[in-house]
Amino acid sequence: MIVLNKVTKRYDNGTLGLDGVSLTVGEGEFVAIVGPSGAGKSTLLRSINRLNDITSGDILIDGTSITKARRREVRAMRCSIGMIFQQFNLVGNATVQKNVISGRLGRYSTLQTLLGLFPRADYELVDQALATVGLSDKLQERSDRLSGGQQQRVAIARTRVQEARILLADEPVASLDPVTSQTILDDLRGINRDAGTTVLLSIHSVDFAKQYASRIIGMRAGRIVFDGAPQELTDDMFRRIYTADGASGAAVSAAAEARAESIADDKAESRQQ
Amino acid sequence: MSGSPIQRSAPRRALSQTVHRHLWRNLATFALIVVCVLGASSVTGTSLIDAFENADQAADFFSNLLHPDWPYFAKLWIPLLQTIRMSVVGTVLGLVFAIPFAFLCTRIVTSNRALTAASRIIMDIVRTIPNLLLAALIVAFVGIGQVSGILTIAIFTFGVVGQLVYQTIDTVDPGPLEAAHSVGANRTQTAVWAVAPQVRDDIASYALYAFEINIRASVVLGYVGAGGLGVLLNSSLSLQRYDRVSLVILTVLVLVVAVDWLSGSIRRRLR
Repeated sequence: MIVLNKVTKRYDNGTLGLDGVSLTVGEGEFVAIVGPSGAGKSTLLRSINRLNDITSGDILIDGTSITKARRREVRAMRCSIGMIFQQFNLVGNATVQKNVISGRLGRYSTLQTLLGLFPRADYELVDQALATVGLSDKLQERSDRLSGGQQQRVAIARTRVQEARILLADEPVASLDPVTSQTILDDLRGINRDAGTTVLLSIHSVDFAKQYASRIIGMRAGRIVFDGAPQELTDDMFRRIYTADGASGAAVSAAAEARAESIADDKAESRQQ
Repeated sequence: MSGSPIQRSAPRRALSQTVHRHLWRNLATFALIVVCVLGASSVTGTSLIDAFENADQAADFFSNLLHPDWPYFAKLWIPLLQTIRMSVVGTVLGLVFAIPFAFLCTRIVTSNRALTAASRIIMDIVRTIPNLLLAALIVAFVGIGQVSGILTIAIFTFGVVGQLVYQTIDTVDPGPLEAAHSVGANRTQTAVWAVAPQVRDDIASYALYAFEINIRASVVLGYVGAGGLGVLLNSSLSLQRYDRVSLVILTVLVLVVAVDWLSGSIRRRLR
Protein backbone atom coordinates (compact mmCIF):
# COMPACT_ATOMS: atom_id res chain seq x y z
CA MET A 1 0.00 0.00 0.00
CA ILE A 2 1.20 3.47 -0.91
CA VAL A 3 0.11 6.42 1.21
CA LEU A 4 0.88 10.03 0.33
CA ASN A 5 0.17 12.49 3.09
CA LYS A 6 -0.02 16.21 2.12
CA VAL A 7 2.96 15.89 -0.18
CA THR A 8 4.38 19.13 -1.55
CA LYS A 9 7.29 19.39 -3.92
CA ARG A 10 8.77 22.76 -4.78
CA TYR A 11 11.61 22.69 -7.31
CA ASP A 12 14.72 24.84 -6.87
CA ASN A 13 13.48 27.23 -9.54
CA GLY A 14 10.30 27.86 -7.52
CA THR A 15 7.94 25.73 -9.61
CA LEU A 16 5.39 23.88 -7.53
CA GLY A 17 5.49 20.25 -8.72
CA LEU A 18 3.10 18.83 -6.15
CA ASP A 19 0.76 20.97 -4.06
CA GLY A 20 -0.45 19.17 -0.94
CA VAL A 21 -1.25 15.83 -2.57
CA SER A 22 -2.85 13.14 -0.37
CA LEU A 23 -3.49 9.76 -1.89
CA THR A 24 -3.83 6.11 -0.93
CA VAL A 25 -3.21 3.33 -3.43
CA GLY A 26 -4.09 -0.19 -2.33
CA GLU A 27 -2.35 -3.47 -3.07
CA GLY A 28 -2.89 -4.71 -6.63
CA GLU A 29 -4.56 -1.57 -8.00
CA PHE A 30 -3.96 -0.43 -11.57
CA VAL A 31 -3.97 3.36 -11.38
CA ALA A 32 -3.64 5.64 -14.37
CA ILE A 33 -2.63 9.25 -13.77
CA VAL A 34 -3.75 11.66 -16.46
CA GLY A 35 -3.37 15.39 -16.86
CA PRO A 36 -1.69 18.05 -19.01
CA SER A 37 2.10 18.35 -19.31
CA GLY A 38 3.58 19.89 -16.19
CA ALA A 39 0.64 18.83 -14.01
CA GLY A 40 2.99 16.87 -11.72
CA LYS A 41 2.40 13.31 -12.93
CA SER A 42 6.10 12.48 -13.23
CA THR A 43 6.92 14.32 -10.02
CA LEU A 44 4.33 12.23 -8.20
CA LEU A 45 5.72 8.94 -9.51
CA ARG A 46 9.33 9.92 -8.92
CA SER A 47 8.53 11.00 -5.37
CA ILE A 48 7.21 7.54 -4.54
CA ASN A 49 10.61 5.87 -5.09
CA ARG A 50 12.37 9.08 -4.05
CA LEU A 51 14.10 9.72 -7.35
CA ASN A 52 13.23 13.23 -6.32
CA ASP A 53 12.96 14.42 -2.74
CA ILE A 54 9.80 16.12 -1.57
CA THR A 55 9.64 19.48 0.20
CA SER A 56 7.06 18.57 2.84
CA GLY A 57 4.61 15.81 3.70
CA ASP A 58 5.28 12.10 3.96
CA ILE A 59 5.15 9.05 1.73
CA LEU A 60 4.66 5.60 3.23
CA ILE A 61 5.29 2.35 1.41
CA ASP A 62 3.62 -0.53 3.25
CA GLY A 63 3.70 1.55 6.41
CA THR A 64 7.36 2.58 6.17
CA SER A 65 8.23 6.18 5.41
CA ILE A 66 10.51 6.47 2.37
CA THR A 67 10.73 10.19 3.01
CA LYS A 68 12.46 9.72 6.36
CA ALA A 69 14.47 6.65 5.38
CA ARG A 70 18.26 6.79 5.28
CA ARG A 71 20.03 6.28 2.00
CA ARG A 72 20.69 2.59 2.63
CA GLU A 73 17.08 2.02 3.64
CA VAL A 74 15.87 3.86 0.55
CA ARG A 75 17.90 1.50 -1.61
CA ALA A 76 16.40 -1.50 0.18
CA MET A 77 12.89 -0.10 -0.36
CA ARG A 78 13.57 0.59 -4.02
CA CYS A 79 14.29 -3.11 -4.56
CA SER A 80 10.57 -3.72 -4.41
CA ILE A 81 9.58 -0.66 -6.48
CA GLY A 82 10.13 -1.11 -10.18
CA MET A 83 10.14 1.78 -12.62
CA ILE A 84 9.88 2.13 -16.37
CA PHE A 85 10.46 5.33 -18.29
CA GLN A 86 9.40 7.12 -21.45
CA GLN A 87 12.93 6.86 -22.87
CA PHE A 88 13.32 3.19 -21.73
CA ASN A 89 16.64 4.05 -20.03
CA LEU A 90 18.49 0.92 -21.05
CA VAL A 91 22.26 0.85 -21.34
CA GLY A 92 22.45 0.93 -25.12
CA ASN A 93 25.71 -0.92 -25.68
CA ALA A 94 25.03 -3.58 -23.08
CA THR A 95 23.21 -6.80 -23.91
CA VAL A 96 19.55 -7.40 -23.17
CA GLN A 97 20.55 -9.97 -20.58
CA LYS A 98 22.78 -7.47 -18.78
CA ASN A 99 20.05 -4.85 -18.76
CA VAL A 100 17.45 -7.25 -17.42
CA ILE A 101 19.62 -8.80 -14.73
CA SER A 102 20.55 -5.31 -13.52
CA GLY A 103 17.09 -5.32 -11.96
CA ARG A 104 18.67 -7.35 -9.16
CA LEU A 105 21.56 -4.99 -8.45
CA GLY A 106 20.02 -3.65 -5.26
CA ARG A 107 19.94 -7.09 -3.67
CA TYR A 108 23.63 -7.92 -3.66
CA SER A 109 26.84 -6.48 -2.28
CA THR A 110 28.87 -4.09 -4.39
CA LEU A 111 31.72 -6.57 -4.78
CA GLN A 112 29.40 -9.35 -5.87
CA THR A 113 27.82 -7.23 -8.61
CA LEU A 114 31.20 -5.78 -9.58
CA LEU A 115 32.32 -9.28 -10.45
CA GLY A 116 28.92 -10.09 -11.94
CA LEU A 117 28.34 -13.02 -9.58
CA PHE A 118 24.62 -13.63 -9.91
CA PRO A 119 23.05 -16.87 -8.70
CA ARG A 120 21.82 -19.35 -11.27
CA ALA A 121 18.23 -18.67 -10.20
CA ASP A 122 18.62 -15.06 -11.37
CA TYR A 123 19.53 -16.17 -14.87
CA GLU A 124 16.41 -18.37 -14.83
CA LEU A 125 14.36 -15.33 -13.82
CA VAL A 126 15.81 -13.35 -16.72
CA ASP A 127 14.89 -16.10 -19.19
CA GLN A 128 11.36 -16.33 -17.82
CA ALA A 129 10.85 -12.57 -17.82
CA LEU A 130 12.04 -12.28 -21.42
CA ALA A 131 9.73 -15.12 -22.40
CA THR A 132 6.71 -13.28 -20.96
CA VAL A 133 7.48 -10.23 -23.11
CA GLY A 134 8.27 -12.39 -26.14
CA LEU A 135 11.95 -11.49 -26.45
CA SER A 136 13.62 -14.80 -25.60
CA ASP A 137 15.56 -14.75 -28.86
CA LYS A 138 17.13 -11.36 -28.06
CA LEU A 139 18.98 -12.46 -24.91
CA GLN A 140 22.50 -11.60 -26.14
CA GLU A 141 21.51 -8.81 -28.51
CA ARG A 142 22.83 -5.28 -27.88
CA SER A 143 19.83 -3.44 -26.52
CA ASP A 144 20.25 -0.38 -28.78
CA ARG A 145 19.72 -2.65 -31.79
CA LEU A 146 16.11 -3.22 -30.68
CA SER A 147 13.10 -1.18 -31.68
CA GLY A 148 11.51 1.24 -29.22
CA GLY A 149 8.73 -1.14 -28.32
CA GLN A 150 11.17 -4.00 -27.80
CA GLN A 151 13.37 -1.80 -25.61
CA GLN A 152 10.39 -0.92 -23.43
CA ARG A 153 9.60 -4.61 -23.12
CA VAL A 154 13.18 -5.23 -21.99
CA ALA A 155 12.60 -2.56 -19.34
CA ILE A 156 9.42 -4.35 -18.30
CA ALA A 157 11.34 -7.63 -18.08
CA ARG A 158 13.81 -5.82 -15.82
CA THR A 159 11.06 -4.93 -13.38
CA ARG A 160 9.78 -8.52 -13.48
CA VAL A 161 13.24 -9.78 -12.58
CA GLN A 162 13.34 -7.18 -9.85
CA GLU A 163 10.26 -8.92 -8.39
CA ALA A 164 8.82 -5.53 -7.57
CA ARG A 165 5.61 -5.23 -5.55
CA ILE A 166 4.95 -1.80 -7.02
CA LEU A 167 5.53 -0.70 -10.60
CA LEU A 168 5.82 2.97 -11.50
CA ALA A 169 5.42 3.60 -15.22
CA ASP A 170 6.28 7.15 -16.22
CA GLU A 171 4.77 7.83 -19.67
CA PRO A 172 5.86 4.39 -20.89
CA VAL A 173 4.11 4.65 -24.25
CA ALA A 174 4.52 8.36 -25.01
CA SER A 175 7.16 7.72 -27.67
CA LEU A 176 5.61 4.60 -29.16
CA ASP A 177 3.04 4.01 -31.89
CA PRO A 178 -0.53 3.07 -30.88
CA VAL A 179 -0.23 -0.64 -31.69
CA THR A 180 3.06 -1.04 -29.81
CA SER A 181 1.59 1.02 -26.98
CA GLN A 182 -1.17 -1.51 -26.66
CA THR A 183 1.35 -4.37 -26.39
CA ILE A 184 3.24 -2.53 -23.66
CA LEU A 185 0.08 -1.78 -21.72
CA ASP A 186 -0.99 -5.42 -22.12
CA ASP A 187 2.34 -6.42 -20.58
CA LEU A 188 1.73 -4.05 -17.67
CA ARG A 189 -1.73 -5.48 -17.18
CA GLY A 190 -0.16 -8.94 -17.25
CA ILE A 191 2.23 -8.02 -14.43
CA ASN A 192 -0.68 -6.50 -12.51
CA ARG A 193 -2.84 -9.61 -12.93
CA ASP A 194 -0.49 -12.53 -12.51
CA ALA A 195 1.82 -11.10 -9.86
CA GLY A 196 -0.67 -8.81 -8.15
CA THR A 197 1.78 -5.96 -8.61
CA THR A 198 0.41 -2.49 -7.91
CA VAL A 199 0.78 -0.39 -11.07
CA LEU A 200 0.91 3.40 -11.18
CA LEU A 201 0.93 4.62 -14.74
CA SER A 202 1.16 8.17 -16.01
CA ILE A 203 -0.23 8.47 -19.49
CA HIS A 204 -1.35 11.10 -21.97
CA SER A 205 -4.00 9.05 -23.70
CA VAL A 206 -7.21 9.12 -21.67
CA ASP A 207 -8.63 6.40 -23.92
CA PHE A 208 -5.84 4.03 -22.91
CA ALA A 209 -6.27 5.07 -19.28
CA LYS A 210 -9.96 4.18 -19.40
CA GLN A 211 -9.26 0.92 -21.20
CA TYR A 212 -6.62 -0.41 -18.82
CA ALA A 213 -6.89 1.21 -15.42
CA SER A 214 -9.11 0.20 -12.51
CA ARG A 215 -8.82 3.72 -11.16
CA ILE A 216 -8.02 7.07 -12.75
CA ILE A 217 -6.42 10.06 -11.09
CA GLY A 218 -6.60 13.43 -12.83
CA MET A 219 -3.96 16.00 -12.01
CA ARG A 220 -3.71 19.69 -12.77
CA ALA A 221 -1.14 22.19 -11.49
CA GLY A 222 0.25 19.80 -8.87
CA ARG A 223 -3.13 18.87 -7.43
CA ILE A 224 -5.42 15.89 -7.73
CA VAL A 225 -8.61 17.15 -9.37
CA PHE A 226 -10.20 13.80 -10.14
CA ASP A 227 -9.99 10.43 -8.46
CA GLY A 228 -12.41 7.71 -9.40
CA ALA A 229 -13.37 4.73 -11.53
CA PRO A 230 -12.85 4.97 -15.30
CA GLN A 231 -16.58 5.21 -15.99
CA GLU A 232 -16.83 8.24 -13.70
CA LEU A 233 -14.45 10.18 -15.90
CA THR A 234 -17.04 12.04 -17.96
CA ASP A 235 -16.27 14.40 -20.81
CA ASP A 236 -17.06 17.26 -18.49
CA MET A 237 -14.55 15.96 -15.94
CA PHE A 238 -12.02 15.45 -18.70
CA ARG A 239 -12.30 19.11 -19.71
CA ARG A 240 -11.86 20.21 -16.14
CA ILE A 241 -8.58 18.30 -15.94
CA TYR A 242 -7.23 19.55 -19.20
CA THR A 243 -8.34 23.17 -19.58
CA ALA A 244 -5.98 25.88 -18.30
CA ASP A 245 -4.86 26.35 -14.75
CA GLY A 246 -4.93 28.97 -11.99
CA ALA A 247 -7.57 31.67 -11.52
CA SER A 248 -8.69 31.77 -15.15
CA GLY A 249 -9.31 28.02 -15.08
CA ALA A 250 -12.96 28.30 -14.13
CA ALA A 251 -13.69 30.93 -16.76
CA VAL A 252 -11.90 28.97 -19.47
CA SER A 253 -13.63 25.74 -18.58
CA ALA A 254 -16.98 27.55 -18.53
CA ALA A 255 -16.23 28.88 -21.99
CA ALA A 256 -15.22 25.41 -23.12
CA GLU A 257 -18.46 24.01 -21.78
CA ALA A 258 -20.44 26.67 -23.59
CA ARG A 259 -18.58 25.86 -26.78
CA ALA A 260 -19.22 22.14 -26.29
CA GLU A 261 -22.90 22.83 -25.75
CA SER A 262 -23.16 24.91 -28.90
CA ILE A 263 -21.43 22.17 -30.83
CA ALA A 264 -23.91 19.69 -29.40
CA ASP A 265 -26.74 22.03 -30.39
CA ASP A 266 -25.37 22.32 -33.90
CA LYS A 267 -25.25 18.56 -34.17
CA ALA A 268 -28.79 18.29 -32.91
CA GLU A 269 -29.93 20.88 -35.45
CA SER A 270 -28.15 19.18 -38.33
CA ARG A 271 -29.78 15.93 -37.30
CA GLN A 272 -33.20 17.55 -37.35
CA GLN A 273 -32.56 18.90 -40.83
CA MET B 1 28.70 42.76 -73.01
CA SER B 2 25.70 44.43 -71.54
CA GLY B 3 27.33 44.80 -68.11
CA SER B 4 30.51 46.65 -69.15
CA PRO B 5 29.14 50.19 -69.63
CA ILE B 6 27.79 50.08 -66.10
CA GLN B 7 31.16 48.99 -64.74
CA ARG B 8 32.99 51.79 -66.54
CA SER B 9 30.60 54.43 -65.38
CA ALA B 10 30.58 53.16 -61.75
CA PRO B 11 32.10 55.64 -59.30
CA ARG B 12 35.49 54.96 -57.77
CA ARG B 13 35.06 53.27 -54.41
CA ALA B 14 36.77 54.23 -51.20
CA LEU B 15 39.25 51.60 -49.98
CA SER B 16 36.93 50.76 -47.08
CA GLN B 17 34.25 49.70 -49.60
CA THR B 18 36.47 47.12 -51.30
CA VAL B 19 37.90 43.75 -50.39
CA HIS B 20 41.06 45.60 -49.31
CA ARG B 21 39.31 47.42 -46.55
CA HIS B 22 41.85 46.29 -43.93
CA LEU B 23 44.88 47.13 -46.10
CA TRP B 24 46.46 49.68 -43.74
CA ARG B 25 45.89 47.58 -40.68
CA ASN B 26 47.37 44.53 -42.38
CA LEU B 27 50.44 46.46 -43.52
CA ALA B 28 50.93 47.77 -39.99
CA THR B 29 50.69 44.23 -38.59
CA PHE B 30 53.26 43.00 -41.10
CA ALA B 31 55.62 45.87 -40.21
CA LEU B 32 55.22 45.07 -36.54
CA ILE B 33 56.15 41.42 -37.14
CA VAL B 34 59.29 42.45 -39.09
CA VAL B 35 60.32 44.79 -36.27
CA CYS B 36 59.75 42.02 -33.72
CA VAL B 37 61.90 39.52 -35.67
CA LEU B 38 64.75 41.98 -36.19
CA GLY B 39 64.50 43.17 -32.61
CA ALA B 40 64.54 39.60 -31.29
CA SER B 41 67.59 38.65 -33.31
CA SER B 42 69.54 41.73 -32.19
CA VAL B 43 68.62 41.20 -28.54
CA THR B 44 69.60 37.52 -28.56
CA GLY B 45 72.69 38.19 -30.66
CA THR B 46 71.76 35.84 -33.49
CA SER B 47 72.28 36.80 -37.05
CA LEU B 48 70.44 35.41 -40.03
CA ILE B 49 73.53 36.16 -42.12
CA ASP B 50 75.63 33.88 -39.94
CA ALA B 51 73.11 31.14 -40.41
CA PHE B 52 73.46 31.38 -44.18
CA GLU B 53 77.25 31.77 -44.13
CA ASN B 54 77.53 28.47 -42.29
CA ALA B 55 75.58 26.74 -44.99
CA ASP B 56 78.43 24.29 -45.68
CA GLN B 57 78.17 23.04 -42.12
CA ALA B 58 74.48 22.48 -42.65
CA ALA B 59 75.30 20.70 -45.90
CA ASP B 60 77.70 18.42 -44.03
CA PHE B 61 74.98 17.72 -41.47
CA PHE B 62 72.44 16.90 -44.11
CA SER B 63 74.78 14.75 -46.18
CA ASN B 64 75.49 12.70 -43.05
CA LEU B 65 71.81 12.53 -42.34
CA LEU B 66 71.31 11.13 -45.83
CA HIS B 67 73.80 8.37 -45.15
CA PRO B 68 72.54 6.56 -42.08
CA ASP B 69 74.94 4.28 -40.26
CA TRP B 70 72.90 1.12 -40.92
CA PRO B 71 75.08 -1.35 -38.98
CA TYR B 72 74.49 0.80 -35.91
CA PHE B 73 70.97 -0.67 -35.80
CA ALA B 74 72.43 -3.71 -34.02
CA LYS B 75 72.91 -1.47 -31.00
CA LEU B 76 69.62 0.30 -31.49
CA TRP B 77 67.00 -2.35 -31.17
CA ILE B 78 67.37 -2.91 -27.44
CA PRO B 79 66.76 0.80 -26.64
CA LEU B 80 63.95 0.64 -29.19
CA LEU B 81 62.29 -2.15 -27.25
CA GLN B 82 62.92 -0.19 -24.05
CA THR B 83 61.09 2.79 -25.51
CA ILE B 84 58.12 0.64 -26.47
CA ARG B 85 58.11 -1.08 -23.10
CA MET B 86 58.28 2.22 -21.22
CA SER B 87 55.32 3.50 -23.19
CA VAL B 88 53.23 0.37 -22.73
CA VAL B 89 53.89 -0.03 -19.02
CA GLY B 90 53.59 3.71 -18.36
CA THR B 91 50.33 4.00 -20.28
CA VAL B 92 48.76 1.01 -18.55
CA LEU B 93 49.90 2.20 -15.12
CA GLY B 94 48.51 5.69 -15.80
CA LEU B 95 45.18 4.26 -16.97
CA VAL B 96 44.80 2.04 -13.92
CA PHE B 97 44.87 5.14 -11.72
CA ALA B 98 43.17 7.54 -14.13
CA ILE B 99 39.92 5.63 -14.68
CA PRO B 100 38.74 5.26 -11.06
CA PHE B 101 39.96 8.76 -10.32
CA ALA B 102 37.99 10.17 -13.26
CA PHE B 103 34.82 8.84 -11.63
CA LEU B 104 35.66 10.86 -8.52
CA CYS B 105 35.88 13.96 -10.72
CA THR B 106 32.23 13.83 -11.72
CA ARG B 107 29.18 14.66 -9.64
CA ILE B 108 27.13 12.15 -11.61
CA VAL B 109 28.62 9.37 -9.53
CA THR B 110 29.82 11.05 -6.34
CA SER B 111 27.18 13.80 -6.10
CA ASN B 112 29.58 15.44 -3.67
CA ARG B 113 30.65 18.91 -4.69
CA ALA B 114 33.75 19.09 -2.46
CA LEU B 115 35.13 15.69 -3.46
CA THR B 116 34.60 16.46 -7.14
CA ALA B 117 36.24 19.88 -6.91
CA ALA B 118 39.23 18.52 -4.99
CA SER B 119 39.72 15.65 -7.44
CA ARG B 120 39.56 18.00 -10.41
CA ILE B 121 42.14 20.33 -8.88
CA ILE B 122 44.52 17.43 -8.33
CA MET B 123 44.07 16.31 -11.92
CA ASP B 124 44.52 19.85 -13.24
CA ILE B 125 47.77 20.27 -11.32
CA VAL B 126 49.11 16.97 -12.60
CA ARG B 127 48.25 17.95 -16.16
CA THR B 128 49.93 21.37 -16.03
CA ILE B 129 53.39 20.01 -15.20
CA PRO B 130 55.33 19.83 -18.48
CA ASN B 131 56.47 16.36 -19.44
CA LEU B 132 60.14 17.14 -19.53
CA LEU B 133 60.09 18.92 -16.20
CA LEU B 134 58.26 15.97 -14.69
CA ALA B 135 60.89 13.60 -16.10
CA ALA B 136 63.74 15.76 -14.77
CA LEU B 137 62.14 15.79 -11.31
CA ILE B 138 61.59 12.05 -11.29
CA VAL B 139 65.10 11.34 -12.53
CA ALA B 140 66.34 13.47 -9.64
CA PHE B 141 64.30 11.40 -7.19
CA VAL B 142 64.45 7.90 -8.66
CA GLY B 143 67.64 8.07 -10.65
CA ILE B 144 68.54 7.56 -14.31
CA GLY B 145 66.80 4.69 -16.04
CA GLN B 146 63.63 3.24 -17.42
CA VAL B 147 61.74 3.37 -14.14
CA SER B 148 61.87 7.15 -14.30
CA GLY B 149 60.57 7.07 -17.85
CA ILE B 150 57.73 4.75 -16.89
CA LEU B 151 56.71 6.91 -13.94
CA THR B 152 56.80 10.07 -16.06
CA ILE B 153 54.63 8.51 -18.73
CA ALA B 154 52.25 7.08 -16.12
CA ILE B 155 51.72 10.47 -14.47
CA PHE B 156 51.35 12.21 -17.81
CA THR B 157 48.82 9.60 -18.95
CA PHE B 158 46.95 9.96 -15.68
CA GLY B 159 46.51 13.70 -16.28
CA VAL B 160 45.52 13.53 -19.93
CA VAL B 161 43.31 10.43 -19.93
CA GLY B 162 41.77 11.29 -16.56
CA GLN B 163 40.47 14.58 -17.87
CA LEU B 164 39.18 13.11 -21.13
CA VAL B 165 37.40 10.34 -19.25
CA TYR B 166 35.74 12.55 -16.68
CA GLN B 167 34.53 14.89 -19.38
CA THR B 168 33.04 11.90 -21.18
CA ILE B 169 31.38 10.68 -17.99
CA ASP B 170 29.83 14.11 -17.52
CA THR B 171 28.04 13.77 -20.85
CA VAL B 172 26.66 10.22 -20.52
CA ASP B 173 22.94 9.60 -20.93
CA PRO B 174 21.50 10.05 -17.40
CA GLY B 175 18.57 7.72 -18.16
CA PRO B 176 20.31 4.41 -17.41
CA LEU B 177 21.72 5.94 -14.20
CA GLU B 178 18.21 6.77 -13.12
CA ALA B 179 17.09 3.25 -13.93
CA ALA B 180 19.95 1.85 -11.84
CA HIS B 181 19.02 4.10 -8.93
CA SER B 182 15.39 3.02 -9.24
CA VAL B 183 16.25 -0.66 -8.69
CA GLY B 184 18.17 0.21 -5.53
CA ALA B 185 21.73 0.19 -6.88
CA ASN B 186 24.33 2.13 -4.87
CA ARG B 187 26.84 4.60 -6.32
CA THR B 188 29.54 2.07 -7.15
CA GLN B 189 27.02 -0.29 -8.73
CA THR B 190 25.60 2.56 -10.79
CA ALA B 191 29.08 3.56 -11.92
CA VAL B 192 29.97 0.03 -12.97
CA TRP B 193 26.63 -1.03 -14.44
CA ALA B 194 25.23 2.16 -15.95
CA VAL B 195 28.14 4.54 -16.57
CA ALA B 196 31.07 2.28 -17.44
CA PRO B 197 29.38 0.55 -20.40
CA GLN B 198 28.53 3.95 -21.86
CA VAL B 199 32.13 5.22 -21.71
CA ARG B 200 33.92 1.92 -22.37
CA ASP B 201 34.64 2.49 -26.06
CA ASP B 202 35.70 6.08 -25.48
CA ILE B 203 38.14 5.02 -22.78
CA ALA B 204 39.70 2.44 -25.10
CA SER B 205 40.04 5.13 -27.74
CA TYR B 206 41.68 7.56 -25.30
CA ALA B 207 44.04 4.85 -24.10
CA LEU B 208 45.29 4.26 -27.64
CA TYR B 209 45.56 8.00 -28.22
CA ALA B 210 47.62 8.34 -25.02
CA PHE B 211 49.83 5.47 -26.18
CA GLU B 212 50.50 7.29 -29.47
CA ILE B 213 51.55 10.43 -27.61
CA ASN B 214 53.60 8.45 -25.13
CA ILE B 215 55.63 6.70 -27.82
CA ARG B 216 56.67 10.12 -29.12
CA ALA B 217 57.19 11.51 -25.65
CA SER B 218 59.31 8.58 -24.50
CA VAL B 219 61.89 9.42 -27.17
CA VAL B 220 62.31 12.90 -25.78
CA LEU B 221 62.36 11.58 -22.23
CA GLY B 222 65.60 9.73 -22.99
CA TYR B 223 67.18 13.16 -23.17
CA VAL B 224 66.89 13.69 -19.44
CA GLY B 225 68.12 10.19 -18.74
CA ALA B 226 64.88 8.30 -18.63
CA GLY B 227 66.10 5.48 -20.87
CA GLY B 228 65.21 4.34 -24.36
CA LEU B 229 66.05 5.72 -27.80
CA GLY B 230 66.40 9.27 -26.55
CA VAL B 231 69.62 8.38 -24.74
CA LEU B 232 71.23 7.30 -28.02
CA LEU B 233 69.87 10.34 -29.83
CA ASN B 234 71.41 12.57 -27.21
CA SER B 235 74.81 10.87 -27.20
CA SER B 236 75.02 10.64 -31.01
CA LEU B 237 74.22 14.34 -31.31
CA SER B 238 76.86 15.35 -28.79
CA LEU B 239 79.43 13.16 -30.58
CA GLN B 240 78.34 14.78 -33.87
CA ARG B 241 77.70 11.33 -35.33
CA TYR B 242 74.94 12.59 -37.63
CA ASP B 243 74.88 9.32 -39.53
CA ARG B 244 73.77 7.67 -36.30
CA VAL B 245 71.39 10.51 -35.47
CA SER B 246 69.86 9.88 -38.85
CA LEU B 247 69.28 6.23 -38.10
CA VAL B 248 67.74 7.02 -34.71
CA ILE B 249 65.41 9.57 -36.28
CA LEU B 250 64.43 7.11 -39.01
CA THR B 251 63.73 4.42 -36.43
CA VAL B 252 61.60 6.78 -34.38
CA LEU B 253 59.75 7.83 -37.52
CA VAL B 254 58.98 4.23 -38.49
CA LEU B 255 57.92 3.43 -34.92
CA VAL B 256 55.63 6.45 -34.60
CA VAL B 257 54.02 5.88 -37.98
CA ALA B 258 53.50 2.19 -37.20
CA VAL B 259 51.96 2.90 -33.81
CA ASP B 260 49.73 5.67 -35.18
CA TRP B 261 48.52 3.44 -37.96
CA LEU B 262 47.89 0.53 -35.63
CA SER B 263 46.03 2.50 -32.99
CA GLY B 264 44.19 4.50 -35.62
CA SER B 265 42.87 1.36 -37.26
CA ILE B 266 41.84 -0.12 -33.91
CA ARG B 267 40.11 3.11 -32.89
CA ARG B 268 38.19 3.24 -36.16
CA ARG B 269 36.93 -0.25 -35.45
CA LEU B 270 35.74 0.80 -31.99
CA ARG B 271 33.24 3.25 -33.43
